[in-house]
Amino acid sequence: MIQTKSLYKHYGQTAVVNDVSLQLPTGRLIAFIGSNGAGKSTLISLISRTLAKDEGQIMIDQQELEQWKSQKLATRLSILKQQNALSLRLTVRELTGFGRYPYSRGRLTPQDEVKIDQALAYLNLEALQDRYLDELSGGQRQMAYIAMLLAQDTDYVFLDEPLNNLDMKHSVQIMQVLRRMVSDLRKTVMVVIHDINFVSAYSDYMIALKDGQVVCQGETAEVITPRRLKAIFDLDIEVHEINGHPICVYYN
Amino acid sequence: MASGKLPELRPVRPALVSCRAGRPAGRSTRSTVVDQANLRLNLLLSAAVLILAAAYLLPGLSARNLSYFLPLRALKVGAILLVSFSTGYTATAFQTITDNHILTPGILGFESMYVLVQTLLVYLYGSKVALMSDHGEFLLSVGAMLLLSGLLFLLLFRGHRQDLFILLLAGTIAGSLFTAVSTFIQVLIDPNEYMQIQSRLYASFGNINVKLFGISVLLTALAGCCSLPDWRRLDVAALGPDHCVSPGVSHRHLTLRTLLLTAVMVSVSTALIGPMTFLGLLTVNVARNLLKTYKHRYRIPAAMLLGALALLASLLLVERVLAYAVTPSMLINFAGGSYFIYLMIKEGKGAKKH
Amino acid sequence: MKKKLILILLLFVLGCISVSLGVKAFSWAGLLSGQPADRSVFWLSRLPRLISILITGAGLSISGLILQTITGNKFVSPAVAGTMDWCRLGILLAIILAGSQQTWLKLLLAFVVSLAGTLLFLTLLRQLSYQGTYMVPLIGLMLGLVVSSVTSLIAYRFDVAQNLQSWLQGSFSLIIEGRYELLYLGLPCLLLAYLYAARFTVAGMGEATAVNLGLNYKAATLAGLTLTALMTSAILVTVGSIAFVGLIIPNLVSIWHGDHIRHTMFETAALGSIFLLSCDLISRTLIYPHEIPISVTAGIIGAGVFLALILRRRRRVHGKRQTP
Repeated sequence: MIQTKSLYKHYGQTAVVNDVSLQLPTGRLIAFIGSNGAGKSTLISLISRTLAKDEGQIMIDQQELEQWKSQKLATRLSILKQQNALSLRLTVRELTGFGRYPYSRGRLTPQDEVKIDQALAYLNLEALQDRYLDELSGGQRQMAYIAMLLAQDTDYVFLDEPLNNLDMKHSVQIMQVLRRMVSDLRKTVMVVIHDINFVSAYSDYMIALKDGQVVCQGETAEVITPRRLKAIFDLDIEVHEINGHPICVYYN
Repeated sequence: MASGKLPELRPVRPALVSCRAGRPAGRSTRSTVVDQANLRLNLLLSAAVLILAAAYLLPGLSARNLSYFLPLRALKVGAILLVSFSTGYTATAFQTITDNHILTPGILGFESMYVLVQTLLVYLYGSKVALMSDHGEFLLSVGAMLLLSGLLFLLLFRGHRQDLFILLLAGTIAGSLFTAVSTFIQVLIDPNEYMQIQSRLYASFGNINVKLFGISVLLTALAGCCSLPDWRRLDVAALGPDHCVSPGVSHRHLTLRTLLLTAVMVSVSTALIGPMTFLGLLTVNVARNLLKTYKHRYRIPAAMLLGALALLASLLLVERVLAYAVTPSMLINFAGGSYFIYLMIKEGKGAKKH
Repeated sequence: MKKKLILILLLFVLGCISVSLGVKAFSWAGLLSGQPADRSVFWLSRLPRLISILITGAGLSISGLILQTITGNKFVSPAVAGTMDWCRLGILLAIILAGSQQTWLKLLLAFVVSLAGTLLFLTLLRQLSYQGTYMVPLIGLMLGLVVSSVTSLIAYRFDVAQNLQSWLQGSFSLIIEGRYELLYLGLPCLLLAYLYAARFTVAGMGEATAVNLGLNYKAATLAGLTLTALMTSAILVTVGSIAFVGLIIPNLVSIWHGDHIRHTMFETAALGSIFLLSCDLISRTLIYPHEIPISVTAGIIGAGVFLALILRRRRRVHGKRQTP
């Protein structure tokens, strides 16, 4: 279980994360929403130790973040950041293989190879596995990164705007994979997404941030109401139910 | 890092380019006030150059040694003025076109190209080069440099922004290729013939080629005249290649012309006093900080004057204070190099603040 | 596997040619039958030369590979990042402090100074606003120019400029038994580089990814720079500087084999040695019985290859971009 207690992060004078205390439910697909600059990315960077906090406490499985050995933690928690402009020329399979780095430090064992095969199969990437990343489309590349994340096989998985710059088909594919990771593999997936309708269709639980603070959290269906969305985004949003999902309309 | 990459810091763009059309007479806008201040600053710098030149030329002269010392010193001062003229223009234009503050044309390998051309001439024509007039041979090398840099440009530069940096990197690498080829040919050349070119290849303040001075002045003046129409275009070019299109300035042609003029001016100053890699970097940045204007008609003269000041000061220092313990170009390179590191650190801090 | 065999075979053939070639009379038959003259030529000069070429080629190309991986930039190498210029400054300091005979002191100072210098380059780079692919090597080259201007200033002041000149031009012509053993330092470095290869690749994937995978990013970077500085210093002190090997060889291998450097290390090292061996053979045969410094041959061929690489890369980038 992941918990934070009065977490702070400042950039200069502004508190980007301002007194955030959270308890993240396990085994769910959790969406972080909020406007640009609300502190979503910063918050998950803090929790995933890719950014140092200023104040407060982060507990992962009852143990404080600082007490974890980085390598050990890498087998419990993984994160995919927004910018993945890789300058190295790696094949899809090699990249996926690096997900096993925390376990084998670069010398892949037969079990690692099995995990890599499984990850590639899970994402239907077998046909592409020997292609170089720079030869792929943006969507395919993002799938390859998710394969790496899958091979890392951690209970907690963070993704920072994984749908950025992707077309609809790949966005749907990725959300379906994340959904299956929760329901089939019992993982806790935490994801920052801007498209509120993707959140509505795929996530179980929502955490909304505004100016570095949590303004509201709860089951997806409870949060997606015009009143709450108005409080989060300062925007009048209509909510219609289509095929059992609340769908937001914000084009006026 | 939270957001991965730092925000990219672009040099501050000048707000708008003033139109050629005159504004109502008698009204002093903020812009004219700044212009007047810049003009005053340039006059001040000229005065300083004159004082330093006098301080170098005059002391210790008497009726007896006048005829010996004065021409010698005047030659050095002349060479300094020439070199600062070339460096001031080429470095300012180069930085405007490449849109950054820390590169100079000095890295482009023009000096090694000059050495290669000279070496090739001796290799191909042997001692006949010695029979050739200095002028003919010099013109031939300048022509060859124009040809070579033009070729390099046409081969590499298709007008993309990225191309410019490829061009710079390729130019730098080509420079070390030229040096290697020169060394290779020098191994092949007959040692006696090599002696002939050696002094010509590695010029310095102590070793100014008098015979070349006249033609150097001529070539530099010619190149300077050719550059004049570009001064205003450079104001526009500072907005970036994309914004050049609507005011009707061809960034590509401007770049080509600047590189060709640079080839001429650098070969002239290399032939006269040898390479001065960091002089341009130093003067252009100091000028930019002093003047705070985008207008090249103030910035270029200021860079030139500052160059002359720096060279005169280092010459005075070396000859009168340090008793020739180092050479002026070493001093300039040292100062310019330290300034380069300072610039990099400063730019880094600036990027962090954003 | 097949490619590796071809590389090994090529190395072997070139190595044999290299040993047979030279001004002094030498025959393989004589060596094998134990002729003292042939044996002494072999052990005193031919074998040391071969070994130093092999280690230098492998060391320089692996150094380049490590630097390129860590900086994430294909145009960086010990020469471009200024490591070599810092080395030269270190050697100069050693000469001024203790004369030109103190080989170990030279190595030590070259190592310390170049490690500090390369670290400085990396630190400046990390906090700099200009980070384009082509800007990084340009900044490295400028910094190198600054350092060498300082070096020449000091050398001129202490009257050792002539002495220093010999480190500007790499040459194997003076390699004989007793004068190259320092290069053996390269062997453990190469081994360590191989063991650490996966870490360098992970570090090259960026700090966030590295942290995510549980790698100590700073330690891995420092380890890579230390190995690079040590190998470069040992080579510079014994052979002198040779540009372009560290730049072009990793690029050539990367085109065929990608950048998982654990998978490419052998090819990179072998190709580096083959390249340098070939350059050396050209150096020795072109104006036989005289010899062209290897830095010249390697410089000419290397610069040519590098320009071709730049053009190739530009064509690829533009090919993608120009479709509107």
